[in-house]
Amino acid sequence: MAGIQLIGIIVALSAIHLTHLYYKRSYFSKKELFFWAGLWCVFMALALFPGSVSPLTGYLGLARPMDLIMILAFIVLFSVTFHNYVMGRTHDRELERLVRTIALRDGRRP
Amino acid sequence: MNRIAVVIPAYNEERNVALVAREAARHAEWVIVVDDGSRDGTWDAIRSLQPPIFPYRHIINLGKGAALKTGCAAAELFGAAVIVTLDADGQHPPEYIPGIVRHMDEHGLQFVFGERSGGDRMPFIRRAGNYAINQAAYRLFNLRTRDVWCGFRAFRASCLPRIPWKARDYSGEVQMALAVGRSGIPYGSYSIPTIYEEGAAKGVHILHGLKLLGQMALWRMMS
Repeated sequence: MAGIQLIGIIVALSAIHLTHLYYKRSYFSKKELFFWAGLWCVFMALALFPGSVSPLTGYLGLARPMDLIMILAFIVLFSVTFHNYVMGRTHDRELERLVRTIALRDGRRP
Repeated sequence: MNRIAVVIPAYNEERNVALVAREAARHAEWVIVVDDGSRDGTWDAIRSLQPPIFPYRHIINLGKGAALKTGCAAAELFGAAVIVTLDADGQHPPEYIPGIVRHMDEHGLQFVFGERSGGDRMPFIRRAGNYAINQAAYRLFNLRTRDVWCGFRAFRASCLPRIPWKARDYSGEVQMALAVGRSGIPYGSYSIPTIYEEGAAKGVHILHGLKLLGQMALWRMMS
């Protein structure tokens, strides 16, 4: 097993452990637990058997399975980053609106 | 009294805010103090103040730009015709409120920037930062004022829809100033003395200035 595969498996196992912890603390619902644990299991499988995507690489015209994994990883990474950014901005605006509404509601008036 | 509302955003200013508010109340119909989620006793210092002082409170710290938005919204609710903003740390003398409003009336202006003069006590780095911001405001937005970052300013409440600012932090004030330049409303400047205490402009450092310069360039590109 290559070193990079070992790192991938360790990262995936740690993430599954964290997912379970968040579920136990009720931060995650059961649906979220299965979604994230499933996603990390797929990641682990790809790390262990990168050759399993070989049929797809030929179909997509890519030279190596690792290329496909890298492209998929980038797509996921950018999507998650964009989603996080949008959510952060949305929460930020909502928080400001809430705080200012409370201030104006509770403030004294002439 | 020209239906003047003074808006004072305050963050961790328990030592000065009540005094500044009381002084301002001598020159305005309403004084709206917005405690921006202070961690010290600012809220305790202002909550018991009586009209014409009206305390408001953000339950968490949002930033000066957001506190100004809340204060100006309250001033609009009160029916103010003129809004004067000043800092809670006492660096803007409230006795200059009638002067800045009179200046606006006499010159037919809609917006007047306070201009701090004689800032010899201001640290060099802060003076240099102010100079850079003013130059950027002039070159990028053709805004002719020598103190774009001064929190002491007066404007007609009717201007508010034309000078929107989105930024919640210190840059909100600059965004507002740049909107004045863009909107074409008549504006001018009014000289005030600088009362610079050690520790004033707390939380603002060189990185804020650099970030603001970057933001200004971005706003220019997007406008």
